[in-house]
Amino acid sequence: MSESTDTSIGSTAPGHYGAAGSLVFLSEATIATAWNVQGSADSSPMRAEVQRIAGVELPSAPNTTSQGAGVVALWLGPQSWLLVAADAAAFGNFAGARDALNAAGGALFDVSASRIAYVIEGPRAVDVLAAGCPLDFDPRLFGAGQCRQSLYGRVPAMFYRQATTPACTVLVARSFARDTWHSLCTAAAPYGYTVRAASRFT
Amino acid sequence: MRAGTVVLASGALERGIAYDGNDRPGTMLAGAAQAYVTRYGVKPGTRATIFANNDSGYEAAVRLHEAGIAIAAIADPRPEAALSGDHPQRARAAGVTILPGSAIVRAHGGLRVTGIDLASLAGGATRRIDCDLVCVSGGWNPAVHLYSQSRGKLRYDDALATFVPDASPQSIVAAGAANGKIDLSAVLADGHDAGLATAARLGFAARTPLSAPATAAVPTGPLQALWSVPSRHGAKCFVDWQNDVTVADIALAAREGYRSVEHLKRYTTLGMGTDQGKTANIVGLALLAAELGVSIPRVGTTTFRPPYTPVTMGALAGHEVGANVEPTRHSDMHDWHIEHGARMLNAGLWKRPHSYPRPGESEDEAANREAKNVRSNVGAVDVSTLGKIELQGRDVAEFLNRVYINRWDTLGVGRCRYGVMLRDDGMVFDDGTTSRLAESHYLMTTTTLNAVNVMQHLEYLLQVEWPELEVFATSVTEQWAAAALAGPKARQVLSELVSIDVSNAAFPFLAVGECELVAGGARIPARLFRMSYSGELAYEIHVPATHGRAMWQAVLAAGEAFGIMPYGTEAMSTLRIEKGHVVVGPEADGRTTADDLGMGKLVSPTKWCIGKPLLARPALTAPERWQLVGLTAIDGTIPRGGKLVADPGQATPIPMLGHISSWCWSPNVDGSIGLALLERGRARHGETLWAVSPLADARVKVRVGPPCFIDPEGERLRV
Repeated sequence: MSESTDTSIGSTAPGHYGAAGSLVFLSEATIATAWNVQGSADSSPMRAEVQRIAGVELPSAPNTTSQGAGVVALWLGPQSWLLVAADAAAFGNFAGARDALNAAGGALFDVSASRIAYVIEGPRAVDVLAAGCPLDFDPRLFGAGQCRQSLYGRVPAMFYRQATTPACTVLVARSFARDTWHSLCTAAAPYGYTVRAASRFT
Repeated sequence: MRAGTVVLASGALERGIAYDGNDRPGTMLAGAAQAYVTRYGVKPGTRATIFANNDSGYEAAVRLHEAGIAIAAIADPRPEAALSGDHPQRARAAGVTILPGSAIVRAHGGLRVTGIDLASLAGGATRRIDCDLVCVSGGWNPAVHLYSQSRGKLRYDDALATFVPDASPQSIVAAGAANGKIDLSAVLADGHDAGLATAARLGFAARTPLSAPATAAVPTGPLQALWSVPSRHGAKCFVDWQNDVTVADIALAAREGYRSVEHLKRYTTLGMGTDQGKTANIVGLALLAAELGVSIPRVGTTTFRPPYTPVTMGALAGHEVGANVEPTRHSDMHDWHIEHGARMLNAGLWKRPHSYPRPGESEDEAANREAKNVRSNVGAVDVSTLGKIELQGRDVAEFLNRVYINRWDTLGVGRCRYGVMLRDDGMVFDDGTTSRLAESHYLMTTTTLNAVNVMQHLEYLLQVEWPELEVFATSVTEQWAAAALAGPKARQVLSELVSIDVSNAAFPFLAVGECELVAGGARIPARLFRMSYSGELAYEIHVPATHGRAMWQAVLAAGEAFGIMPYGTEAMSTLRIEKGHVVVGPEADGRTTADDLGMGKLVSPTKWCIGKPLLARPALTAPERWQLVGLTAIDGTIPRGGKLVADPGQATPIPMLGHISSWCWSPNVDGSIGLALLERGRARHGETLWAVSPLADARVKVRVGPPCFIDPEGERLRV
């Protein structure tokens, strides 16, 4: 990610950038709703409320995710999860859901605008990820349905793999997103990369 | 990268032999001389003597001979019977003089070696041979540094007279010369085998037989360990050329009682520096073993330190150079600020507008215009960077009671309150507001710079100190874009924007509510707070950050008819200095208590909180403590970073009574004002002191007063 003289590197407009060829594909995955659930992992009333509200089972194992219909639950910590949906109306009214979670001994925070997600795909996706993060992105060790929290460059980042492909989704805090996008583009430029139009987070 | 197994094929390093005069230029390792000839096509001398206790010196001799360098002789301590290997025989066939059972006992020459004295190892007469190159080989040491740094254990190999890899707690395999294989055919075979075995163990079977370079084994005679040849003249025999450590130095270390090899290293500097003993260490510890009368394995090796070889700063810095040294945080209004001429400054990792200079206007003039406009009309400032933490759970009020100095169990839904947090030692840690959004849902704001620290503080308390409290916290700094709308016309602007009644009766000072904000036909869900940092009638509007720019533009559009101006951090700072509002850093500098800052009455007498027990320490209640005051320059400008003294004309050292913590030109007071921490400050209101700065060569007469220059009764923010 050293400084490039190519000023088009970092553009968000769809198109081809960097070296000839296109071994990396970058895009934003838009998040419409993201709710942070907190509470005891052992609390069955809370789990039942989450199931009722979002239609997803909270994953218990560290660094794993679970899928519901149009919703992903990502493990954030021993008592913290992130429910992400591409649909703005996926979970219904926030205040009602929050009150229900509170009554069940848990908590619910609306963080829909807090994170920006980017998808890194293509044959050299792992190299782009490795350029900014010390995690091992080998699909045999970081497989489908898993998530990890680390850094990309110096920015705290969450990595999520939906399927066993080289593709990986990285979520960063909104205020850092511009920096992270530029870092991803700079890391991808030597391989040649294509920016794709934004897609819905899945 | 995480490796399942590491194969180390790091090679071997040749070692020297210590003898009298072995530091003369023209002395080098046999392998080095061979590399000059075969790799670089350079003749390192014209007439060489070889001194070797193993066959590899003979290979070098043959190569040098073939390159046209005269070989004066090969001195070898080994007996004739040991010289049956291929390389000695080739040397003999080439007509090179071989002198078994002999050694160099002295080298002659100053700026260049001119000759050497040879003698039998058994002693006796010397024989002088003229030469300008001496090539030495004392054997080979596997480069075990990386192996050892990864906690691999070593074993002493008598045949090689050196340490070789033995066992590693990690999945690390040494191969080739690094594994003690010296002959090329063995090196190639060992590397090939190690690669295949490792791949197989990791589940990568070779699909077809791999062809690898191979060569016939070269019959080799045994090495005979020889570390040093005693000088017959008491002269220096070097062991470590980089650190000038001699055989005598090692003997002295042993006599002085430095029996551990680690102590030997520190006493003599053997094996230190960039070379880290690559050539010298085995020789040095073998000599120590001889001095101590113990075996070499018992002496052991020193710790191998990384890096193996000097590493460039660039390799360590990696990508983190230039703009990548630190990430930058942008608010959702960032681009608007740039488009409207804002001069940006760094606030932690954030970029914030300092001011919005108009054409022909300086930054200071712009900030003064903006600050004046807030008090006369209305202004808007981007406060998205403030730390925001949401709290939920049954015990939030109790938790807040414990972390803030003031009471929180009396805060109703739809209300907010200013709070101060202390460190354990009683000093002010952070300040901000907390709002009660719903029955058990609160929003805490922190200073921009302390956002992460406060979040860590709260998480620590909840996880370690009070896990029994049912409180859940999450940072929502990134979730909400925020603007403060301040000035006497703020309500008029706001009422054009929001769906709720914002009259003083319906939405009084410190009210909090949810509403919708109309922005260009769209309706944005918003949180509205009636709080004031400027001391004016003011509101904070928070919207989901995706709507940040739309909200900001809607606020400015609605305010246009009322003379609204965006204002930056400089005007914000001027406004807060005019009101005497303290800031973490300048006033809350880690040495001030709430009482020092004029907020002693906020400390609730009826409850415990973090830091409160230690507030009773005598030093924290002493009357001579420095207290917050306001300063007005009588003439001149209060100097940046100035000190307060009673009389600058006194003989030095002049007692310092306090220091200026914040200062500005106030367009609303129309004068130079400041905040200061002053000894017995509250008792000095009305006094005249001097603000001095020896650095700026400034002396300015100032009047001490209360730390508030505008609306001391606080009426403007309640209208």
